[in-house]
This record gives sequence, structure tokens and C-alpha cells, in this order.
Amino acid sequence: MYTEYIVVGSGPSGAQAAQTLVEAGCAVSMLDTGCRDVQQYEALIPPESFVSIRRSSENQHRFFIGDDFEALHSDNITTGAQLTPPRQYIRDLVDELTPLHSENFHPMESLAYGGLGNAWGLGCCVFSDKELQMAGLSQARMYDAYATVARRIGIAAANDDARKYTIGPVTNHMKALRPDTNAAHIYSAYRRHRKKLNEMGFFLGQPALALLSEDHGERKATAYADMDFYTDQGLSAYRPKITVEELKKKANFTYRGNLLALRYRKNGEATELTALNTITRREETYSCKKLILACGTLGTARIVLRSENAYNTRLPVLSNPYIYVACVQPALLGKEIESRKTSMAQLVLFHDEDRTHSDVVMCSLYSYSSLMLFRLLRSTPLGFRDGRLLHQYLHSGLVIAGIHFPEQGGDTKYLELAKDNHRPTGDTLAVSYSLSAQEKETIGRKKKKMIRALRRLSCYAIKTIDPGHGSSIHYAGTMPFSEKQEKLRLSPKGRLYSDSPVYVADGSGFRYLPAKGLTFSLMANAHVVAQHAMND
Amino acid sequence: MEVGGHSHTAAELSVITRYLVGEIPDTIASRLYMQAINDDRFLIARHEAMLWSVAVKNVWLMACIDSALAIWRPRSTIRRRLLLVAAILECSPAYHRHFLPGNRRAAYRLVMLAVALRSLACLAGGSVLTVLMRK
Repeated sequence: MYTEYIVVGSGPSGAQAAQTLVEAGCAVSMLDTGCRDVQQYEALIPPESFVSIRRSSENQHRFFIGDDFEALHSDNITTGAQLTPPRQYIRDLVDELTPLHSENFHPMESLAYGGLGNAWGLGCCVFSDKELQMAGLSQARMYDAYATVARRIGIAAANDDARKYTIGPVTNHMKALRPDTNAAHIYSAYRRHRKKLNEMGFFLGQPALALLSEDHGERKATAYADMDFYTDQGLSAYRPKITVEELKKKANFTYRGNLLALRYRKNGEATELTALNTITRREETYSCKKLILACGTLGTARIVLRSENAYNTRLPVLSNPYIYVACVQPALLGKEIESRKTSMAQLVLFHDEDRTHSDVVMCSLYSYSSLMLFRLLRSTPLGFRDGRLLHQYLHSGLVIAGIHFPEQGGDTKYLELAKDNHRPTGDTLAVSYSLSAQEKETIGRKKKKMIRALRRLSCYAIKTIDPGHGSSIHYAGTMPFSEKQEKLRLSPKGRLYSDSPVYVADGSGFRYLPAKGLTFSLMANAHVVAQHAMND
Repeated sequence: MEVGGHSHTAAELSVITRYLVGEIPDTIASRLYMQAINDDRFLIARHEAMLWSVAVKNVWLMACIDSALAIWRPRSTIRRRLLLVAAILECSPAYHRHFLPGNRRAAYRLVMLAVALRSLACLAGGSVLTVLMRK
């Protein structure tokens, strides 16, 4: 089979790159493993609010705990701990088909239809000029791309103090989502202490989210049902599979599932891509004029290292250090929880210490409600009866702060592909990731400042949880953009320096990883890379 | 690992449910519990079987042993079994009021204080019990 473009992967980058090519009239084939929710948990969820379901649904245990009690599998809060049973399929086949060995790096990868976009927290942040420059991205092109992606996916955003760090100059967005009581309380504390907090470099506001506050085509505005961790009813949350489903209706687009891309090679004018059929377990070959890899930084690294026969060659890796801090707001303890709210981040607090808009620390604030008490009970040092009574009381005032720190990379963070004949792909990716003493000191200092600022906002930290490196799901930078033609590096246009016309549309080229969520920038970059692929 | 008290599952579930929420188990909870305990992940370890057999005798013994394990052996298979029941009950509409938060008066803080004191007492009693059982 020959096609003009093959896009590998259906996640945020693959979907946006494919859309750009298809809208320009190019013939595109998307190759994807495309695991799906075979349990079909989402179909079981009634279109009601979390509180209403809890009070009346007789089969709620199926999607809250899972038919195989999946929600109780892990004893620890670690990578993927936030995945509810209806979302756990996104890790299907990963351990078998994309093996990874590491003592200190435990990323979440996905071979699902829509990739990690299925578990995306929906946060949309524009990188600042300085951050774009540090990441090796073109400012002018990225700003255009941000606007394009915002139009495609639909973003709700507010005009507040956080805006310069979230959606920034992008103007085509919807009105902000309605904050919940917890958020309103924190925000009123912020207004009281705003001057002092701003002097210290702290800015609070609502996050820009790819969650609709108004209808957008056939997608509906959020119903504020607080079931966002379980279902995407009404398609109000943007998931990349929405784009792929739309593309499937176009004559110049083909989706081929159950395929794991293994390696490419140049064959005359064409590029041949070999993929493993995950059903028959046989290899199949596809040809194209240009190949666009968008299978996540680690997936792309595997394909490139295998194809370039660069086994045991070290590539750098970036990953945002990340911690959770559980906080309580004393004034809100012992209250009923609202039935109409969203489950996503309610507020976002940025710490821009020197006001240069680089090395900003980001803290997303969630009200803990729909993730159930039993997840908290297992890590509470109390008997379950008293733990239940305590958490029932704390529940309405419980806030989870997810703090991301920026990442510049270093010699102690790298990966390499090693041959391993016991694996279906014939290899295993080995990753080593550790922070330098200076990085640990900087993160510790910034963490303390953030916790102090939260205290000023009436959020008192009761527990800090370090889920381990890679668990942030924010990783990138394995083949950094480079002006110099070096092997295993990307040109500034996203083209791999190789004999084959291969472009990389995911985060592999990023030289720096701001603490802000990177998904919106991944999608914008994918749009830019697809444009370059067409124009080259 | 060995199966802990399969022949007494209905009775043990009754004790656990009364311990956790002060009620008897409904049919949904019973069905799910029977289904889950055949899973290796929820079996009681051999070295905890005796402790488990004491715990399921009555609610107070269960409270003491659970409180002690929460501190000294949080990954105990007994704790995992209790978490299973807590999750099952939380996902049953019959028990939602024991898990969903409700409006409490300021005086409810006194209740929380009493819970804290009871928790300490259970911890002390349970610690002694688990040490004695080990011997």
C-alpha cells in the first residue's frame, strides 16, 4: 500500500498533524495500535451527576471499582494512579509491546486509540517567547498554530491574573467555566492577599481548559456532572479521537488500527514502514512519500533508534518533576459537596519568581470529590472506620495541588534501546533519570514557597506525595532540535536528519520543558511540523 | 498464601460491614464480596490467618486489629481485604450516606475528637493484641 503521508499515532500530536494534512487535501494514512475500552464501561455510566449516580445507581461499582476490581490493584500512588477503571484500557498492551526497563523512571505510555489524550487533564498553556526559544520552537509559527488548534478543539478560558501563563495571546476561546465552591473560596483569599502574593511572584486564576463552556459543532457544553474522570459524555472534553473520527469521514484519510510501527527504511523514492499486526502478530509493510512520527516521545525514540540501527546509543530525555500536595480548607470542612461542577483543575497558581516568564512553577488545584474515599483510605494511617469518618468530614474542603517544575535535562537523564530477543519488538528501552543535587535543592526550595503561598490562600498542606519520575506524563526531548546536521537530532522544521524523509510531530524535539502542561504546545507543534512536511 | 475462612464468608462480611458502617451487608455487597475473595489479590496471607480469625469474631476486635495494622503493617493482606469491603460499600447506593459528605454543625468537631480518642484506644489495644498473636 502506498500513500502520500503516513502519520503514526492517534494521540494529540498525530491527530493534529493528520488534520492539517487532510485539510490541505493530502492523502493521509494513520497507522495506530488503537487499543479500545473492551469492557465498555463508559456505556454503563448514566448521564447524571456524580452525586446522583452515587445515590441511585445499582451498578456503579462496575465503573467506580471495575469488574475485576481494577481500582484496587495498586497499593501505592504511582504512575497512572489517577486512571479510573473506564480509563485503564489506555495502558493495554504497553508492557508487552513497548517494554521499558528503569529503576528510577516510570512513565505512563499508551497504545490506545487517541493515545494519552484520553487521560489528558485538558489544561491548555501557551509557552512564552522565552520558553519557546528555550524549547527550540519558532515563536511566530507557534503563535499561529496555537490559534488554529484553539479553534479546532474549543477552549474555555478566563481573563484573570493567570491568563498570561495559560492561554496568553490566544483570543479565540470560550467564556470561562464555572468554578466550584472550593475554588471560589480560594480565589476570595487570593483577592485579599493579591498584592503581597503578586510581589512574591504568585499569580492565581482559572486554567484554560479544552472543556467546552458552550456548544461547539456537535459537541455539547459540559453538563458539570463531575464525572470527567470516568466519561466524556457529550464530547465536551476534547479528546484526540474526536478529531480522528471526523477525519475518517474524509475520502483522503484512512485509519489502520491494530498496527504497531516498528521501523522505517528508504526504498527508492519511497519510505517503507514496517509494522507489527497486533492481532496476527505478523509484520506488514506500508509505503509513503513522507513519514510523520507522532507516537509519543518514547515510542518515536524506539522507532528511530531501531531504524537507524542505533542500539545502545544514548538519547537525552526531559520530564517535569512532579508532586501532589493534599491540602484542606478548614472553613469548608463538613459541608455537602456540590452536585454540579467539573472534575478538572479549578484553579491554577503560577510562581514566576523573577517575573521573566521562564522557569515558572505551575500548581493545578483540584477539588477532591469524584475519585472516591476508598482511594484515600488505603494511605490513611487509621482504621478504616475512623478513616472513613475523618475523610467524610474533610471531603468538602479537600484540595489536591499538583505541582509541576520546569525541566532542562542533564547528563543523568537518558535512554537507550537494547536488543532483547524475548520481546515481540526484539528490544527494550532502558531509561535512567535522576536529578542533580542542585536540582533537588531548587525543587525543594520552590516547593516550600508554593506550600507557603497555598497556606496564604487558606489551603493547609497535610500530606506531600512524590509519585516518582515520569509519572507526570510530561516527558519529551529525546531528539532535540538542532541547526547542525547531527544524527538522531531534528531540524528546526521537525525533520529527522536521516536519509529518509521522516518528520517527528511529537515532543521529541523540545529542548526544554516548561512546568506548564505541554499538550497544547504538542498539538501546535504537530500542526507546524505537518505544514513543513507539506512545504519541503 | 492461603484462603482465610471461605466457609464463613457471610459471617465475616457481616462483621466487617458492621465495623465499617454499622449496618448489615445488602445483596450487592454480598455478591461482590463472594466474587472478590476468590481473587488471589484479596486472600489472607498464611502468617495473618490467625489474626484474621480473631478479627472477624466481633466488631471491636476488628477495630483494634485494623487500627494497629494501619500503623504497623499498612500493606497487610487484612487491610487489603478491609479496603475491598470499604470500596464495595462505598459503591452501593444503600450506604452512600456513610461516604458522601453532608452538612455538619460546628459541634461535629467534638465528634471528630471522640473519633480520634477512640482511634488511639483501638490502636493501643490492637498493638498489644497483634504482638501477643505473634508470640
